Amino acid sequence: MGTIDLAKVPVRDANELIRKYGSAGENVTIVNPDARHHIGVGLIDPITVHVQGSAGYFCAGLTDGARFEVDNNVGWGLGDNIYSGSVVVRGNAGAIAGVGIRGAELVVHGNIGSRAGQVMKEGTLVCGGNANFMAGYMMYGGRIIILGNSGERVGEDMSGGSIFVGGDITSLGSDAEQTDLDSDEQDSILEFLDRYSLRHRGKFKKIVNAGKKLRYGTAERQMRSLPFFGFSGNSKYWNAKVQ
Amino acid sequence: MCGIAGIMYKTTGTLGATGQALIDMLDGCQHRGPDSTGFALYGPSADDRLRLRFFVGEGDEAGAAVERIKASLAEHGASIAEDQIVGNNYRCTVAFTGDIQKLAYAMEHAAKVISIGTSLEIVKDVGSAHEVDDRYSVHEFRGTHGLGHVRLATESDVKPEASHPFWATGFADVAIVHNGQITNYWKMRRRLQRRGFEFTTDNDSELIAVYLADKMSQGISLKDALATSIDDLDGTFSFLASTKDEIGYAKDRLAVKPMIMYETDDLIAIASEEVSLNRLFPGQALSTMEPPPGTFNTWARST
Repeated sequence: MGTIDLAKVPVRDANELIRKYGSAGENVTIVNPDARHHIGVGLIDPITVHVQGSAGYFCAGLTDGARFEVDNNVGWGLGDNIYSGSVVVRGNAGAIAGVGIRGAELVVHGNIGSRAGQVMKEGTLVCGGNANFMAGYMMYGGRIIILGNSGERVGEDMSGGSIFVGGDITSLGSDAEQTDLDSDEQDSILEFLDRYSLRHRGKFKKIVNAGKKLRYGTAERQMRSLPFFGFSGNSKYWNAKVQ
Repeated sequence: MCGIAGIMYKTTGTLGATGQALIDMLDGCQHRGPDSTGFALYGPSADDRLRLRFFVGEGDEAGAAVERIKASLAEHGASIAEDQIVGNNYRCTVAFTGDIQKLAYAMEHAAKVISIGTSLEIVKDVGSAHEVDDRYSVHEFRGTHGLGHVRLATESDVKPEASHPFWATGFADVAIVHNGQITNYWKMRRRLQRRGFEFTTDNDSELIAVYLADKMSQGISLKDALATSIDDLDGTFSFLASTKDEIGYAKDRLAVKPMIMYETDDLIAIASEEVSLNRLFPGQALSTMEPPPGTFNTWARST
């Protein structure tokens, strides 16, 4: 177990240290975080990073497989482009929490700011309180679970994925619609919440893409071949390009 | 992108280390604006005295500007009680009971006016919070409340007079700091200019100061002026405003520009980012609040 004091170590150096602890398989405790930005960015080892206080912007961004626990609040861009792993925030999160996530489980016990889950592609983002406006803005996939109220224009221009709201739907966004929730989905949500010691009574409301925008009946004519790079990894998030 | 900060010690009779507090808060968010830093500092007011600050430059240029200022003050019936050169500022306290707006517009012909007020002094320059403090000893200032700003210039020059805070030219003790962009700036500015108001820069944030001061001069409270600003101003904005007795904020409906606050029985502190608030309370997990989109509020010192 390593301890890093952010009152003494700059975040850039701290992140290098975190990655070294990660390589060695040791968990890390961050003391005196004082809402500093970019904590833990780029970590790709399955260790636990415990932030004893608030984290700033882009906490746990671009990480793959690690577990983050934040005792208080986080700023904007929680888990930006995270690939897998989990982040638990005991306080509130700022705007664009879960922006562009490719997987992972992000659980915010408090409220989340506007545009949560913007352009997310996979994974689960949970808000234990209320969400601000445009949660799920332009999301492509994955799921957002809001235990409180949705905020205005929830699901604005989403094209895939699902948003589940335990409280009131303040208003639906453009091209979003409420649909039926089946019992498997309800059970799956409750099982997920139970794993993170969150409780909810009552049935969730499900919001999906209505499919009335951004649909074209005729495919665009291809003018020339395009050179595509291959991908050496093995990921379900990689979309094989086709001519 | 810019960073804003504000603090008010709520209890009457106490003076806080507002200068040092704002330096710390701005140092915490200097990454939001590396080119200029400024402070609006409010001390105990003396109603029969005005505090004035001017940009005068350095060397011979400064000497000539100070002579012009002194001549213009004398011409308008303002007698100098004390004065000094600090950095590239000329700072003086004068006895004056006439029309402050007329005085302010006249003084602009002598030198660039930074601020005029009974309790307000604005200190601003290019450089970081610590660099500006080194030049102007901001850390020594103790007062009731204040605003701060770190600037990343986007649409006007990197020069001291284009940095924040902005004094509401012609209106004593009104200042603002702003993060964002006012897209109906020229339209609103022309409306105010047609009514005789003068602008000293091409910075859109100056408009907010003059807009609020104009409302308040009509008897509208700061709180109500902030409320109408959300409807009247277009674009993205999170800004803080202050008068001799109050501090307040307004945030646009898009909520593109961040703002977060922390309040205790003794103080209210507002900043762009929580990292600035934690500079006041290192090592503590703060129970902060993010103002909702399209909201405003004000705080006054308790009596």
